[in-house]
Amino acid sequence: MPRYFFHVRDSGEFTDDDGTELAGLAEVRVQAVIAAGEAIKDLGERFWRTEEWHMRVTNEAGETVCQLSFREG
Amino acid sequence: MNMPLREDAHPIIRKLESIFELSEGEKAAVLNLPLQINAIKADQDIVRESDRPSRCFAILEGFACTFKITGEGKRQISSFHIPGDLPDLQSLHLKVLDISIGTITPCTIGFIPHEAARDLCDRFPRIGSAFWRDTLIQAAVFREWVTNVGRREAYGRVAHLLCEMVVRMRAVGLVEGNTCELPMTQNELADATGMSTVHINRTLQELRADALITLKGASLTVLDWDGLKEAGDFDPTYLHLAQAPGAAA
Repeated sequence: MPRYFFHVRDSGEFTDDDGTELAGLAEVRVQAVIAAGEAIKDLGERFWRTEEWHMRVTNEAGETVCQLSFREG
Repeated sequence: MNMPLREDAHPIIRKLESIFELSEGEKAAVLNLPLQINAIKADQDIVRESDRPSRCFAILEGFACTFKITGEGKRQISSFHIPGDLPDLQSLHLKVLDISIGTITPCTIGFIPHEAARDLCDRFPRIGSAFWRDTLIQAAVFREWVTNVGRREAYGRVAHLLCEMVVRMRAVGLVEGNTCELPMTQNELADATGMSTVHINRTLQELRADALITLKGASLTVLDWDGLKEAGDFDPTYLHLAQAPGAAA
């Protein structure tokens, strides 16, 4: 299975060096939403320390395959 | 098939001695249990929900987990099991299994006919008490896991799980220095913590980046026990071990 890397930028920067094996883009999109939800839920008040919470998923070639952002509307 | 085991190395003896001190007679009785030894490959069910077992089992080698699967097919792991554990001891008193237990790695399983286990408890009441106590501790572990999965943030949740594994493994002599086996895949860790594999992966990388642990293949090394304990809000009281545990020897 191909490996995808889920990088997050919020008040800090997380670079996913290990990546996760997933079946394909459809699965990446599902996992991105779930993982984003988990991360944002844990942030609570800390969420407001930055303007935007941003996740970028890349494939093994380093190409961006999916992006999510969450901000005050 | 019977497996000859040196008394001091017998996983069931080690497990019981983590709970109380056995007399020579009690040790001999445990060693004389008519164990049916089976080798089971990785990722196989040992027992299944709704089974009506006539025997219980001890894990002699390898790792296993207790789990349930929801109607839509999602798995929740509610406990990891290590050598010496008797994960379905409740089947002695509850006829129908309400959980499934499966191997994580290849396992050597010692099946104990219920009749033999009951006879052992009748002849050696302190062993009966230890079995009772062990099932109570299993319930305490489940309560701790509900709290952990339901209320701790991902970082603390994973740290707590790692602390528990280290303390339990140390109690049965399976930690060398600050290193022990941790053969669970990220999928299994995700199913145990109620997290996605992506988030488990991120959280493990953060614990490593904070120099609390290293994970190489199936090997976990705790670099900073106090830090990991604090991150996991970990208090080992619920494990009710005979000796006060800790990662540092």
